[in-house]
Amino acid sequence: MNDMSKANKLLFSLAIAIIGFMIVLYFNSHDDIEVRDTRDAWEIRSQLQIEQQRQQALQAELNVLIEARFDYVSSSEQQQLSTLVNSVDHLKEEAGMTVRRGAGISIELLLERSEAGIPDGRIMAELIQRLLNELNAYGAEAIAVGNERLVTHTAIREVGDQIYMNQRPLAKPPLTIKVIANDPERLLNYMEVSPSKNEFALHGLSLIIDSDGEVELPAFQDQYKLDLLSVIEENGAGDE
Amino acid sequence: MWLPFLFLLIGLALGFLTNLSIPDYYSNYLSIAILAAFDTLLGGIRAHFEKKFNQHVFISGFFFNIVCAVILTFIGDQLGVDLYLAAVFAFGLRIFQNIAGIRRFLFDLRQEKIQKKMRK
Repeated sequence: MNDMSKANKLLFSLAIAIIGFMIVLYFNSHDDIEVRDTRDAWEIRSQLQIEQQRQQALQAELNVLIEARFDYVSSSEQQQLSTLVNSVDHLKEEAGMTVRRGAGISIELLLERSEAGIPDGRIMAELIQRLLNELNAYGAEAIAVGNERLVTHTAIREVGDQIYMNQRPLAKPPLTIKVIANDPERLLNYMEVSPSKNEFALHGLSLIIDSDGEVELPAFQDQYKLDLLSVIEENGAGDE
Repeated sequence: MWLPFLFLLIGLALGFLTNLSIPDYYSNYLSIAILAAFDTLLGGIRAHFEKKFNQHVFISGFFFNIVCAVILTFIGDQLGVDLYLAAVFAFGLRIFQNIAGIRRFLFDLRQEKIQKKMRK
């Protein structure tokens, strides 16, 4: 390019400058909007605490699993079998396939007489869902509505004018919801002031919450349908 | 040789310093414009090597190609047809041809130099 005239050189250089400018413009316009962290120290600290608690819970779970695996690996066939059976029993209990007894509370749904006469006793599925969400949020361990145990894939739906839970219709009120909790006293206190009471009252239903020591929850009666589940082979973040 | 680099730096600096950005919607147009500019630049360099370079052709081609490509993209956008692909295809093809031409010319240049040395 030594024989290039000065004018030509300048021309090429200008073209290159324009291209450079456009490229920078292009990358500038692709910058994502910066998300600013606006949490203060207190929020970060409480977030950290939550994460630490989660870590502890996961660690405890992991320890149990490691113990079970150790039992399985380091023992005779007989013991291996019993370890497996224990694991299966444990999983069944966690999945809600066994009858469970424990300290807890019971909530009775009653029809309320209002000025408008006797309401027809219809409950909305959403009401029940909200109530169950609240119970779960306040530390419920296991829940049963009437004779239906709440398990992981329980669906609560409105079919016609009835509520179906686990594909079976729920009884009309009065209806009892039984809840097992680690700390029934606390759950009771929470439920006494929960918004659910008002929401049910709006629909002509009253909640009577008792902490009657021991409650017995029925087992989940159907088979788990796991045909569509599959194991994820890849490692998630933090698995290594 | 250093002048183009200097101007590239000037262009980059200008871009970074002005901190301009265009809406995401128009980034398609910009990429097409960049492609068109590249094509014309490489074409100019090749023409220069082949001693057929013409300033007026270069300048007009540089801006005309950019405008044309952007208009084509715009029309494609309005019609709902990805017309900018046509521009990408044409420019991509020509960029490769131009690069090939430049490469061949550089090889020839080197060959000549070696032969001159041998003759000495």
